[in-house]
Amino acid sequence: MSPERPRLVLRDVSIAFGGLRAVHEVGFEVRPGEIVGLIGPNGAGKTTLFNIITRIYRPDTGEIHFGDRDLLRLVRHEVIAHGIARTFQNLLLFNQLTALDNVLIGLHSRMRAGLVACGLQLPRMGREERAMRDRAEQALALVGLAGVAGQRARNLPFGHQRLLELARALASEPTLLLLDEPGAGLNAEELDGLTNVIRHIRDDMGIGIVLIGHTMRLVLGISDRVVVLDHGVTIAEGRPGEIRANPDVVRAYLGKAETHAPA
Amino acid sequence: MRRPGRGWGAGIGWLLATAGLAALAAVLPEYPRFVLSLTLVNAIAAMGVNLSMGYAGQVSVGHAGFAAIGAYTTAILMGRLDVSFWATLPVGGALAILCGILIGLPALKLSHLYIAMVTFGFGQVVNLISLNWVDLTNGPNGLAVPPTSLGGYVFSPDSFYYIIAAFFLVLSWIAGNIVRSRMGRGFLAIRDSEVAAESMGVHLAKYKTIAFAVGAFYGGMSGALYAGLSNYVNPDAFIFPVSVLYLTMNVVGGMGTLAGPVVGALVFTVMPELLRGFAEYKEFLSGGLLLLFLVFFPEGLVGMLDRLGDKLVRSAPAGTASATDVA
Repeated sequence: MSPERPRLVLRDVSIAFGGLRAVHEVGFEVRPGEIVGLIGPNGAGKTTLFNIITRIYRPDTGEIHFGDRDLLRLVRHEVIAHGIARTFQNLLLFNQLTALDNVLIGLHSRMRAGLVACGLQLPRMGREERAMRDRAEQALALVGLAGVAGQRARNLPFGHQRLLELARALASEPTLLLLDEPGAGLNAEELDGLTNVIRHIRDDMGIGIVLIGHTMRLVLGISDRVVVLDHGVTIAEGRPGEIRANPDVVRAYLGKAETHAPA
Repeated sequence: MRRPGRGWGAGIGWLLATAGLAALAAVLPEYPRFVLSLTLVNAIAAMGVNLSMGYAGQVSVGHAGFAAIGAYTTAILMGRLDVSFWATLPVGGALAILCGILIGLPALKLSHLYIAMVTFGFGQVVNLISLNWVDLTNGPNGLAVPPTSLGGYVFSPDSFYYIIAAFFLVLSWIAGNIVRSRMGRGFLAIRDSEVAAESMGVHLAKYKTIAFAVGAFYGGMSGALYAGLSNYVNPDAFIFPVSVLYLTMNVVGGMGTLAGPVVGALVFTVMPELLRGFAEYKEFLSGGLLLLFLVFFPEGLVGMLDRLGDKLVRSAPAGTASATDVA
C-alpha cells in the first residue's frame, strides 16, 4: 500500500451525444477511503460519467485529475494501471472462462510476462503466474466466491456473477473503485453481503469508491457523501441525511422512482 | 473444469503424446503414415487459425496465404539458392509474421466482417502472386523441393514424419502455454468483450497484432513443413478452399479449445482418404458438416465434451470445485 493515496477530482465535466446533454458541468471529488454515492433516475448520466473517467468517452469540456495525474491524457487500457478499476452495470464477464481466470484477467495490468515468456513457459513467468493466482484466489475469497473458483462464469448464479465482477475489479489492488449498480438484481440477503464487502473495502483497505445505485437503501446506507444527478446535471450533493431531506431530490427521484421508503 | 495444465500431469501427458506419435510411426505403413503427416501439418495451420480466431476473435479466412508464404519461402530458398531446410524455417516464419502484422494493422480498426474481407483478400493476393510471378514461383507448374537432410542423413517423405511430429509437439506445447497464460487470457478477453478487456488493462492494438502474428507464424510453419513433406509446392495447394478447410477443421473440432483444431484436422484429412470412391462428393460432405456444426453444435466436438464435463462438475457436490484447481 502506498502511503500517498490520490484523490479523484472532476471539474466541470460535460459531454453531449448529438443534441443530448448527457452530462453537463458535473464536478465532484472522491477522497481515499470514502464512498461517494452517485444516484439519479435512468438516463441521468451516471454510467456516462464512469465511461468518461475510464476514458471510454472523451468529455467535450472539463478536467479529471487523479492525484497529480491528468486522466484525460491516458488511453483506456492505462487507466487500471493507475489504480482505477470498475465494474459494469450489465455485467461484462468473460463467460466461457472460470471465475479464477476472470479475476486473473483483472490482474492483467499487474503482470509483465510477454509473448516469449508465456509461450516458452519461462521460469519468471511461472513465478508471476503463481503469485497472481494466489492474489486472484484471495480476491475471490474476499467476496465469498472461493468455493466456485473453478466454475465457468456463465454457470454461476446471477448474484455470484455480480460478486465476481467486484472480485475482478478488486484483484488489481486499485486505489479507486467504480461500482456501477453492484446491487442490481440481488436479493436482500445478497445485498447485505455486498454491503459488508463494500464497507470492508473502504474501512480496511482504504480504497475510495464511487457507487452508482438505483437501490437507495444500499447507496444512502453506506455512502459518506452522495451526488444526485438528473438529466446530466448535479441537483444535489451532501451527506445521505441531507439528500433524503432535499426537496429537489425527492421531487426528481425519490418521489417517483422509489416506492418504498429509503432505510 | 479446466486443469492448470502444468506440473507432473502435463509432463506425463506430453510424454504419452510423444510415445503415441512414435508408436504410430512404428505400426503404420508408408501411405497411412503420410496421411498422418498431412494431418499434423494441417493441424498446425488450423492451430494458427484457432489462436487468431478461436482465442482472440480475429476472423481469418486467408490462412492458406500464410501457409503459402512458408511453403514458397522454403521451396524457393532450397530449390533455387541451395539453402538448407532448417535455415528456411526462420525466414518463412518471419515473413509470415510480417504479413500477419501487416494484415493486422488495418484490421485493428475494422469489424469482424471487414477483417474477414481483408484476410480473404490477402489469401487471394498471395495465390495470384504464386500463379503469376513465374520467374520466382514457376507459376502453375510449381516448384520441386529438394529432400531435407540433417548431419548427412537424407529424409524420405516417410521419415520426414518425425520432423513434422516434433514440430507438431513443440508448437502444440507453445500454443497451450500461450492460451493458459497472461497472453492467452488477454486474447480471450478481447474476444469476449473489448470494452471489458480494455478496462482490465489489455492493450487492444498490441494484443490483436500479436494474435495475427502468432496465427500467421503457425500458418507459415505448416506451409514450410508441407513443402518439406511433399517435396513439391504449387499454387493449387493454397487456394481459398484450403483457408475455408482450416476454418472448418476448427468449427467441427471445436474453436477456442486446444484439442479442437487437431481433432478437426484428423477428421478432414483422414475422411477424404477413407471416402476415396466418393471423391466428387468431398466438398459437399465438408460443407455439409460445416453447416451442421455451425447450426447445431457451434462448440464443436471438443466443446461438446467440455460442456458434458461441465455438467458433471455442476452435479458434483459443491466445494469440490476449488480443491482441484489450486495448483
